[in-house]
Amino acid sequence: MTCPNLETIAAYTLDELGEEEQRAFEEHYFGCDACLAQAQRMRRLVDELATTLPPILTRARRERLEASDPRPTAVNVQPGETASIRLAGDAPVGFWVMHAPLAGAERVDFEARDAGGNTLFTLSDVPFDAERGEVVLACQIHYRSLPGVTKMHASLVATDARGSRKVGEYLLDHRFESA
Amino acid sequence: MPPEVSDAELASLVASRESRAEAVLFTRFAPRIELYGLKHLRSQPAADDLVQQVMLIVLEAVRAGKVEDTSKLASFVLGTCRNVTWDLRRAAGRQERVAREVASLPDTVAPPSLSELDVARLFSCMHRLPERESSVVRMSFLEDQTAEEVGGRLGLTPGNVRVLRHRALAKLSSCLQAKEGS
Repeated sequence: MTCPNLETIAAYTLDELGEEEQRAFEEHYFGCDACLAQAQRMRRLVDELATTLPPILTRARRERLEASDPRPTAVNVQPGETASIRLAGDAPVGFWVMHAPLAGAERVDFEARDAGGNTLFTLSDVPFDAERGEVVLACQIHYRSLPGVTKMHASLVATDARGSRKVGEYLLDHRFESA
Repeated sequence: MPPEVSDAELASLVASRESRAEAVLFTRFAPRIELYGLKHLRSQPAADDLVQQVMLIVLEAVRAGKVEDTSKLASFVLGTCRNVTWDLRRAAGRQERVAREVASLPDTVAPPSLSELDVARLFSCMHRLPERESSVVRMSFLEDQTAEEVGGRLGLTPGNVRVLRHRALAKLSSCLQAKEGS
């Protein structure tokens, strides 16, 4: 076997390679330093993705996060409101609970803009809780290295049988305190 | 002793009790055994355990000259990995059953441990993915959805989702690697 491509190494790491290909790749990386390094890198990436705090939390992830120590700060924010959250060494993680009328929504899209109105990132089809009318946005102290997030304008667009409409705009003020 | 000696030379150096030969053998194979363990046993402590057990068996066999074809030392180590993994899995199955019978403790999740630099790199690499691949990564790994669920939301077959996932991970890995160097 020659060195496989990174897609094959990704499939191996996710346990999605056929039995025979899997055995062949194992025979190969036991003798190949370059492929060992690529497979180690891929393993780290998959592990990192599994432990990375996603921007929008599912209910299950939120509950897991709430059970962690120190318990993260939660800030509720209504449409049209401004709210702030403090992130520091002793409070490294927090989350926003953005409230919005979501009853009947089939899909929710999220957009974040900086103070100048430039789009920072958009996330389409994000997890939401229609019953409680909530979308949960996580934040952590590490986000201070990302440009433009200090005063972030967030908006939610809900889509239901009648079409799409903006259901909430929020000004989220991240107060990063250095350790 | 140069670290690039062949497996066969290394085996004969270990057998003749050459000092440092065992350390070179360990450095060469421990990361491979660990990766194999992470894949098949799915936990770091279990992978560490596998490294210890396999290295012990391999060292004893090499010292005693019991490895027939030392040019295939890597295959011998891999074969040992497979056998020990099989045993560890059976033992783990037993332990799990016992644990379930004794008590079920709530599992808490440690807060994310990524460094600031890693987060920035990962985000910027995610940002460069085409939208569909980035959605597949987000839904699969950050929202814990199966390929079937992701496919349902994006109008793709589960097979398509897996292919996109492999492609996206390949791109992310290259992107992160490029950024490591910079």
